[in-house]
Amino acid sequence: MKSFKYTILMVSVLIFSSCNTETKEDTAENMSQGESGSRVSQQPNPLKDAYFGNLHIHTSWSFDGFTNGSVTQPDDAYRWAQGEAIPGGGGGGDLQIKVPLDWYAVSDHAEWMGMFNMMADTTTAIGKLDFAKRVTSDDQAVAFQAFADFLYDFSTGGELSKEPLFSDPTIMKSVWKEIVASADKFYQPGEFTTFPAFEWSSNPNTRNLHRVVVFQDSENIPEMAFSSQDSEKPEDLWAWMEVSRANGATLLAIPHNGNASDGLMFSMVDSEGNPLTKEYSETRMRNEPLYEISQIKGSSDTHPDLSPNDEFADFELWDYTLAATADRPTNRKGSYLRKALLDGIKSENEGKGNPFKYGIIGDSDSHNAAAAVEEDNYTGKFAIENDPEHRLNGVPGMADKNNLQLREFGSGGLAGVWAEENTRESIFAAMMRKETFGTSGTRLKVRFFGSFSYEEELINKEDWLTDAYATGVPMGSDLQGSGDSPTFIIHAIKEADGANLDRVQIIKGWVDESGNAQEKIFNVALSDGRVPDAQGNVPPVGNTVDLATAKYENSIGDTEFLTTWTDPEFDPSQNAFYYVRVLEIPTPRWSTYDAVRTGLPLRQDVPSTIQERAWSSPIWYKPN
Amino acid sequence: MKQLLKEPLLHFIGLGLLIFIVYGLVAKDETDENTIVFDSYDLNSLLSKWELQWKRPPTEEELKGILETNIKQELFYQEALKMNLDHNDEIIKRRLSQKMEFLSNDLVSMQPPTDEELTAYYSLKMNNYLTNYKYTLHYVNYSFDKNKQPFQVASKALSQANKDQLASLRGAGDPLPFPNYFENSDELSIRKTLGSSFTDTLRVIDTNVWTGPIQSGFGFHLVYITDRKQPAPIPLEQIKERVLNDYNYDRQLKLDSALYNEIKKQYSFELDLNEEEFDPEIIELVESTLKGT
Repeated sequence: MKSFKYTILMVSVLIFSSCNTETKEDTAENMSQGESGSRVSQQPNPLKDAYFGNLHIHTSWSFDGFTNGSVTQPDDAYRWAQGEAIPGGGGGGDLQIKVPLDWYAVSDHAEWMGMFNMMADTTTAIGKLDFAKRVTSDDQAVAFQAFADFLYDFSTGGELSKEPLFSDPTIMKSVWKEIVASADKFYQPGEFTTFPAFEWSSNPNTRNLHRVVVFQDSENIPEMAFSSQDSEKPEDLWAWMEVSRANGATLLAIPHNGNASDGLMFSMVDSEGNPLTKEYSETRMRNEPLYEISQIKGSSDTHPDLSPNDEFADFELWDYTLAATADRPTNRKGSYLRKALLDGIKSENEGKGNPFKYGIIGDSDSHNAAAAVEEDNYTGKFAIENDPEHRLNGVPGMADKNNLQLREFGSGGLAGVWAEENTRESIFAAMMRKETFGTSGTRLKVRFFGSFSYEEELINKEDWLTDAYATGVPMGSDLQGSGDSPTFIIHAIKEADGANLDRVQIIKGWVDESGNAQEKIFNVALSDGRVPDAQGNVPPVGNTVDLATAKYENSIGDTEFLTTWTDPEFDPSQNAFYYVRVLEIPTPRWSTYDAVRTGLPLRQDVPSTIQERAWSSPIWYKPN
Repeated sequence: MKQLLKEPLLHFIGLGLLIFIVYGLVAKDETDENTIVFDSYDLNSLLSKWELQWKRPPTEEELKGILETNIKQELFYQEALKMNLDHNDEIIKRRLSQKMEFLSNDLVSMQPPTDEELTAYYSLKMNNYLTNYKYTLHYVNYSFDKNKQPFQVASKALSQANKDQLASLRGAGDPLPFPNYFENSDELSIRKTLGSSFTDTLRVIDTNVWTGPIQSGFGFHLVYITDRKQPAPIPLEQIKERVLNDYNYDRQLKLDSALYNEIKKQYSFELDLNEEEFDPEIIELVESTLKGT
């Protein structure tokens, strides 16, 4: 009888609750939902603009989202990304971004997504039943009585519950359908782009192999998401993706957190332990063009153990597997992108294709709808962190080592996409061709082009960008043609309200004549007129952060760099790749903002200041 | 906490073994309960779920795999229920509580507002349905990188120019990699390009005259606004879908809390707190939270 009582209760609450009065005023400041119908359509820009967004976002519809106290749903996430305040849960206040994002995708875990029977969803097969007609009756009394009868019957194992339709998986798919519908609902071409997405969360033995699967749109979209309960093997995920593609869907996958994979993410053997083949490489690259280099659970460009000569390698590392016991991984190789890019060209040299020819994005992995990427506005990964004291000194009841893990979370990253316009088609196409870059959360923009025919004076022309596209290739591409040495154009500009830039670096990887992988970092632009000494060492940019107030000055650093660079050590017989890293001047880490905000002492176990950064997708060179 | 499911296996086995032993000691013979009915519906459900994913029937091997997986889950589930492992499990509590929220979600979508209700809501929330500021403007940049004293350079340029003439400064200064004019552009898109301090100033300066210097992250700017549109209401007909979304969203929040308060009324709470252990203020707070509405 109890469920019957609740049903009546809910129904009566519904009848007597009206939305018209005494609802609290929303903040109108940042609302930017479009004026569908009256929008002035913007012309696509063939030279492209950078659009910033996230596609790795969870809500309470993810299992670990709600167990950690999130009260948010996909709609909240899309509202947040456009500037609205949403409830943050965890005993803390509302969440609101300062500058809204251009695009966003909720990607809740596929696992348990099908667990719900959305019993009242009359649009599914249930709608065909007689009782559903009563439920949708114009007569409210009939409707509610029918609904109450149904719930009662269903929950007590009555006749209706034996209806064959209820074992129909079309009912189970409903949560996924809701997620897709939410993405469609908030899409405003030209103003704010959304994508249907889910996360495939395979972590064999707590080693992270997770992938976010993103769909260009809801056309021909599969009726169910693919979860690690279907299979833990990436090869099976790709097979499923190919089936979906054959059925008309447009989709890609993006792996993340190699740093938490203990060498498994970029392993040189497949799930069965066999050496990688050309076919494996091609399948992997057909399905996952991008890799997430930075997110809350750390950056995975490289690790100081792998790149001992990289003075900036030690950046927001999160050196754990996914075990609750805070275990440390033991394998660096196979866990970080730079090494994988090297292994990839090595594999190509050996005729087995390049399985790791990844473009680069940054992302969030927030489990509370809001990608709190703004360092001075960080609210944690989980709702339980929505309290600066908890973030700083730990969540009550949690073990010290787990609280340290929370402190070592970064504020997450952003994906920058060079697209003609802010639409699903344009942004998705940019992701497919890897014309993307990742940041550690800042909105600095970086462009990167390569060619054997660029002249150094090209960038002095007003329309250099047109020529750069016309006579070379953008980030994410293969160098075309041949010559003495390729020339690259790099353009970086700071975020308008953000920190100045310290430097631009090109990171080159190649395979030498003995078949060994090599990497080298070139400082190609330095702020404040600095020049390297004879050994190539560069004086540090300085640090203006006042730890007592968590403020910094843009009195050091430059606002913009536009430069060319020609590889002085180019060998046309060697496979190589180049990508750009842009560093900002030092700014306060989120934990420093929190300490100032709360008046608590600065933590000594995490850095007080960081150099935020951007990574471009690589440009590859392959001998003809 | 964040990975409750990922407790180390040994932990789990140890605990499970203990429970199993204790259970074995106290449990009676329950052969009748150890029968799982697996009928056509169950099999159809597994088969059609597979076909939804793969667009083909499973092979024998694959079918065996999904059967094993599902039977194992069912058996563990049944055993866990017998051992009362579901009792006071925080995850199960939250899940069931979330299911209640889902039910109330469904109720909202089942009862759409009338036109009158929607119009009333739209009027009440008018502040959310205004256009942003819109500008048509030209600007020039004196960058921090290229000028030691960009403010002075910009001020001097302004003082020497014919301020009323758009042409007098157009194209001056240092180029930025953005358009140097905006046409009927939303404030948000200008803000994303040139920053908040820049757009905040645009709201208050004179139009049809070169004005400045205005600071952004890139330098100091002189600005000539030819058109500034104040926020104005967007007609309901143009944004009906969005207003309906907002209405349902607000209604959902309200329904949730109404449901909570209604259910709360049907329960009584007995407080049994040791007065020596807690401050009186804390006891008072607990009492008012549990008993208040």
